[in-house]
Amino acid sequence: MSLYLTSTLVLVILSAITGLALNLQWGLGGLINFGLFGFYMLAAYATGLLAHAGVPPLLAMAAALALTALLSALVSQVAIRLSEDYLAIVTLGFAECLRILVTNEEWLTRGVMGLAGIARPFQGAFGGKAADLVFLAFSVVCLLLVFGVYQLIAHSPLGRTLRGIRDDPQVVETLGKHVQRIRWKTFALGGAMVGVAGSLHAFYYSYIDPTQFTTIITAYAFVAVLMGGRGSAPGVLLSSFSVILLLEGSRFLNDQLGFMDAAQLACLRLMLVGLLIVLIVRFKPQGFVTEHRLKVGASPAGAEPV
Amino acid sequence: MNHLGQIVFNGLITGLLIALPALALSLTFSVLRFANFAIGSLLTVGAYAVYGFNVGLGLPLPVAVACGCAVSVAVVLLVNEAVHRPLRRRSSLMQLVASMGVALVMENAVRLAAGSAPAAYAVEVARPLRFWGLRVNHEQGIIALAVVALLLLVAVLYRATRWGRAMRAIADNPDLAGVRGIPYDRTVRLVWALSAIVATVAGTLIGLDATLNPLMGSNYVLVVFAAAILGGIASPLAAVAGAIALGVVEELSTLVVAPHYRSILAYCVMTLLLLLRPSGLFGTRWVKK
Amino acid sequence: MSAILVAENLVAGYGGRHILHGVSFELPPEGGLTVVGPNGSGKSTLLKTVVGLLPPASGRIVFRGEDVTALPVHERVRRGIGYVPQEANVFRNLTVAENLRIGHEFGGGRVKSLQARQEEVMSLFPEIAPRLGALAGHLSGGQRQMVAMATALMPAPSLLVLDEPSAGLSPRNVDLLFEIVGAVMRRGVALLMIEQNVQKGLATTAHGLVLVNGTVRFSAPSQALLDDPALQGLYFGGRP
Repeated sequence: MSLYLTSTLVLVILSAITGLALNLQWGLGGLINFGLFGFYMLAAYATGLLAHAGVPPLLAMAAALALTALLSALVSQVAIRLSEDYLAIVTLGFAECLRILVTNEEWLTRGVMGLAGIARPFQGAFGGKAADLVFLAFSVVCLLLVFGVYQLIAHSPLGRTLRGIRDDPQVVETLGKHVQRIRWKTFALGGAMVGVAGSLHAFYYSYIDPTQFTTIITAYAFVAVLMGGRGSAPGVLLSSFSVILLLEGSRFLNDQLGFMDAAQLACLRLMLVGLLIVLIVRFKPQGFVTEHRLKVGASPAGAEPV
Repeated sequence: MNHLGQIVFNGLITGLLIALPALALSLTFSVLRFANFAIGSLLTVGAYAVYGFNVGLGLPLPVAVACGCAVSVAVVLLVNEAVHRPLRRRSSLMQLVASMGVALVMENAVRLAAGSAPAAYAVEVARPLRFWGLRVNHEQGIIALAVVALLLLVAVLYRATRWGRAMRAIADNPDLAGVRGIPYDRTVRLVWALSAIVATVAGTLIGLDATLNPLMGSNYVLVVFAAAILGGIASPLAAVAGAIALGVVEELSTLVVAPHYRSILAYCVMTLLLLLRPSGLFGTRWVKK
Repeated sequence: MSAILVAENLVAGYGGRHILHGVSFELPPEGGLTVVGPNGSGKSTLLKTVVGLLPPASGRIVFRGEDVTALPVHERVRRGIGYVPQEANVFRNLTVAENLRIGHEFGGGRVKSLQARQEEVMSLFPEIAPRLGALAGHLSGGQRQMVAMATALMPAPSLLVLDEPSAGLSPRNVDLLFEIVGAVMRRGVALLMIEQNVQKGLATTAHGLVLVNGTVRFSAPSQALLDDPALQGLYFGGRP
C-alpha cells in the first residue's frame, strides 16, 4: 500500500509544481499556456538524455531547467504580442511540435521505444524501500523551493507589477515599466518550474516515452490554478493535494471496482477533470481561495468576474 | 509533371478536409467571439455518431450521416445551454478554457464508449478512378463532392439569407443586433447547429479517408486552427480559403521534408501569420472604427 | 389623445449603483419629447431602459397600452420601437443595403415589401441613396448617422428613440438632421430623443423634459422651457 501512496504523492507533487508554474505564467503573469505538457516532456527528455550521457543527475536537472526556461523565453517573445486567444493556440502548437519531434527523431530520443534507466539523484546512497522515500523527500524539497520562489515573487514589487499588467496592461505601460521584458522573464521562470516537474518525472519513472506526456498534465495544472484562484500559491497547493489526490487515487480503485479496466478509468478521470474545469469556470471563476490583495479603498460592489 | 499534379490534387483534398472544421471554427469565432477548442472533439463525436448508425444499426452511410448530424446538433445545443450561454458575458479566454474542459469530456466519453481501437465505416471498397492522369480514389471523390457541396450551401446561407445576415450582424455588433430586432439566442443556436452539422460531415469524411479513432479530432485541432488563422479566423469563407491553401502547402512540403513534419510546418506558417498579419491572408480588414 | 409611451417610477443603474431614481413621464403620440440635462444626469440610461437594453430595478414601461418592462430589446423593437444609438449604430462590415434590409426583415414591421419601403425611407435620405452598395463602415460620420436612422425607420416603427443624434455632426449636417427628424414626425412617428444641443432639440419637439441627477426637474412644453430662466441657470452658470 505504501508503494501506491508514494507513487500517488509523487504524482500530486509533480502536478502541484506544474500548477505553480502555470500560476506564475498565467495567474500572475497573465500569459496563458496551453502547452505545459510540451515543456514538461522537454525537461524529462533533456534530463534523460543527459543522464544517459553520463551527466550527474542534479546537473542534468539543472541543464533541463535552463533549456525549458530558454525555450519558454523564446516562445513568449512570439506570444506576448498576441491576444490571449491566439496565445493559447500558439503555446499548444509549440507543445504539439515538440511532441512530434520527440516521437519521430528516433536517432535522438529513440522515439516510441523511450529512454530507460534514468538514474536518480542520491541513488546510490540508500537502497531498497528507502530509495523511494528518499526520492519523495527530494521531490518535496523541490516543491518547497518552487513554492518559496513563487511566494517571493508574488509578494514582491515585481509581483505587484505583474498583477498590474495582468489586470490593466495600459496603466502599467504609462508608468514606464518595461512590460514586455517583465512578462517574458516571468514566463521563462515559469518554464523553469515546469522543467523541475519534468525532470522529477524522468527520475521517478526512470523510463520515459512519448505516450506518458499527454494533455492531462496541462489539464491538471488548469484545474489546480482555476480551483485555487489565479495568483494564489497556497490555493494551487490545496487544489492539487485535494483534487488530484482524489483523481489519482482512483487509479487504484480498479482493483476494487473490477468492471472497469485501467484505460477506462483513465478516460473517466479525464472526463471528471474536464467537467471540473467547466464547473469551476462557470460557478467559481475566482477559485476557492482568494488572492492576497492590498485593499485600497472600497471595492466596487458586484464586481464582474473575469 | 504528373507527380506534381498528383501532389497538388492530394493537397486540395487534404485542404478540403480541413476546410469544413475550419469553417465551423470560424463561424463560432466570428459570431460567439471565442476560439472553440472543442472543435476537435466535435469532429470525433460526429464521426462516431455516424459510426453508431452505420455500423451499429446497419444504416446506409448517407442516412447514418443525417442521423449523426441530429445527434451532434443535440450535443452541441446542450453544451451551449449548459456552458457557453451562461458564460456569454465573460471574457473570451474563459470561454476558451471552458471549451477545453468540454473537449476533454466529449473526447473521453467517446473513448469510454467506443474503446481505443481504430474503427471503420461499413462501405464498399471501390477501385480508384483515373482522371487526366490523376489517380482519384473513391474516398477522395466523395470528399471533394461533399465538401464543395456543403461549402456552397453554407456560403449561400451565410451571404444571401436572412439568418446569414443575422449571423453577420451579430459578428459585427452584438448589441446593435438586438436593437435591430435580431434574436440573439436563436441565431446563436443556429450557428452552433450549423457548426455541428459541418463538423459531423467532416468527421465522417476523415473517417472515410483514414480510420476512426477517439483521437482523430484532437489530431486536427492544431491544423484546423492554423488553417482558420491563415485564412482569417473572423471570416468563415476566408478560413476555407486558408484551409485549402494550407492543405496544398502541406502536401507540397512532403517533397522536401518528412511527412510527420507537416504539422510543424502548419504551425510555423500560422505563427508567422499571427505575427505579421493577424487578420489572415484573405480576411478583409475588419472595419473596427 | 393618450400617451404612446408611459414610464412609471423607473429606477435603474449599473452594478448596484442607481442612476435613475424614480423617473416618470408620458410621451404624447405627436409633437415629440426632448430630454435634456447635464452630463451624468441619466439621459442615456433612461433611453436604454425604455428601449430594453437595461432592465430597470423597479418601475414600469407601458408602450401602446402594453406593459413591455419584461420584454428583451429585440421584442420591443418588433412591437414598434425604433432606436438609434449614439455610437456603433450601424453594422460596419455590412453594406448599407444589407443594413436597411436587416432593419426591415427583423424589425417586425410587415407593412410593405422591402423595395417599396426602402424607396420610401430613402426619399428622406437622398444623400445615402447612391451609397447602397458601400460598406457602412466606409461612410462618413454624418452619412452613417443617416444609415442608422434609416435602418431604424425601415420596419415603420411607431416610436423613434434617438440618442444625441447631432453628436459629432457638422453644423450643416445638424440642421439637415433635424429637418429629417421633423419630416419623420410629420409622417406620424412619435419621437423621444436626448440632445446636448438644447436649443435645436427643444426647437424640434413640442415638449421637453429636464433630467438632473436621475430625477425629473421640469416637464413642460418646449417653448416654456426655452423661455425659463431657471433652465438658463442650469446651463449657463446663472443662479443655482
